[in-house]
Amino acid sequence: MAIFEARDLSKSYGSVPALTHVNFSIEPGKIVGLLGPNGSGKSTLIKIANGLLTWQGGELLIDGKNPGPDTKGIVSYLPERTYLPDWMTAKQTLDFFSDFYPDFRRDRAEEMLRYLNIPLTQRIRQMSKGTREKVQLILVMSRAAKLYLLDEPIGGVDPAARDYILNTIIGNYDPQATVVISTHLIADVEQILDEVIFISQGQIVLQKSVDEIREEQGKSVDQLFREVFRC
Amino acid sequence: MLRKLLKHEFRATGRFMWVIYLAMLVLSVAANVSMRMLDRTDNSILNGIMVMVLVAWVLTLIIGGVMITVLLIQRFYKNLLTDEGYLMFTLPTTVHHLVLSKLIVTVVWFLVTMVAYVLCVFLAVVSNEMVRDILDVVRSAFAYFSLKYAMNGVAIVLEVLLLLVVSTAVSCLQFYGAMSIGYGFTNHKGLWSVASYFVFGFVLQILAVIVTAATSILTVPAGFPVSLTAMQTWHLAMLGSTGAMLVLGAVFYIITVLNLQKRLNLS
Repeated sequence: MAIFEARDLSKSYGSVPALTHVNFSIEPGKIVGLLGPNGSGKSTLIKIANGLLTWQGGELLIDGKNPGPDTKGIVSYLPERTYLPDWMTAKQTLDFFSDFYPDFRRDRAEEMLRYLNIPLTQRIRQMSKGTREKVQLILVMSRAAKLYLLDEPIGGVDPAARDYILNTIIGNYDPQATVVISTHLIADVEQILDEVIFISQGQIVLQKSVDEIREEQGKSVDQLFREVFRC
Repeated sequence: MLRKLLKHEFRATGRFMWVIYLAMLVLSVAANVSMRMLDRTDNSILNGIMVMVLVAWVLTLIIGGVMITVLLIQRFYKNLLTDEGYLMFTLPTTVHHLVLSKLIVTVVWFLVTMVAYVLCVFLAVVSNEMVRDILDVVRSAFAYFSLKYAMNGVAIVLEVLLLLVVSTAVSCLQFYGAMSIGYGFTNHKGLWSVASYFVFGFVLQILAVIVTAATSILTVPAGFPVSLTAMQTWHLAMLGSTGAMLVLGAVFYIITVLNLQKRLNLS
């Protein structure tokens, strides 16, 4: 069974369409890039999968179920913004995740925080933007989830931080799990992707494995992206 | 899950509540000292300082109460309808639990605040003689109520407390419902929230007028076999009011939950 699929999914913000008859299916055990320019509908799709937005048509299924409390227990979500309360310390965020997620691996999270020299007593509001993003990523990737939905995990951070983030993703996810990375920074993530979905103006343009693209087109994903989304 | 949400909610709100309570209690003790000193000195500078302490005490009580109300209502908005909502609505729990956790904790803090106010006033005015007098009054009142009204005395207290708790919850839910409606819109969310709150208030006013008019027109038919004593009338009125508030609360609760389930639009 597909771990993440959409069937004729449509969503509008008032009269403005955000997703139009979106269809895709992602099997377990893959790292998938959800790639598209700004405003193409990537974040909207991920928010719908997390129950943060409602939709008007079609359906979206996580492990065969509509988004709800059951699916939230198996999905680990990293939004594109800081969602941790700024008054919390790093330790309190660990306590929070430990309380609500039985699959949270606290020892792993603590080890990563120690490696980055982030004191457990430091509050979120005292951290730089890059450090907050790393803390959020550590919390999200320390869960043994079935599906990881990472919305722009490397946007807005320096190249060294990007490498750390990508290595953290690779180093901490269960090979049986699925990771969906939404981004427009293709060149940085291409190396870790198994499959890509191109989305433009709320519609799926392409869904293929990275190997197929390289073999059939003789191009990298980044090159194909630039061709498909040429301005 | 509700237990865990309550734990984190108390932790999140307690960190500012205890600061406000501490300020109120400290100023209350300072007010007590000031009032005693005012009686004992004629020095105008000292008198001025003591008066300022008393003014500061009164202002602390007023501002403290306003801050507590604003912070607790704002807690719903900040934790569910801003960026923190991305964390809360992706927890493996239901919208019912999220709303209930906020409601229960807010009601508890409002009740604690009422107790804190009583304590503050007591601390500000207490003297040794007053403690003895108050205890005498409490003993006499209890003996009087027990003698005259037996179980009714206890029932009155319970009914008043119940109505207080339910009214507080309904007030919170009125805010929650308005915010949940407003934040379902794409634009001008704050404006829609305020408008919704005033619409609720307007509808409640109309209902109150209708109920008042209806109860003034209705009379017990002649020959009706039941006649009510004053105490029975009181109980009926209290239970009726509480029942009406519960219905209102249920309506606001449903509005809140439905909007958060069907129209949530975090962006």
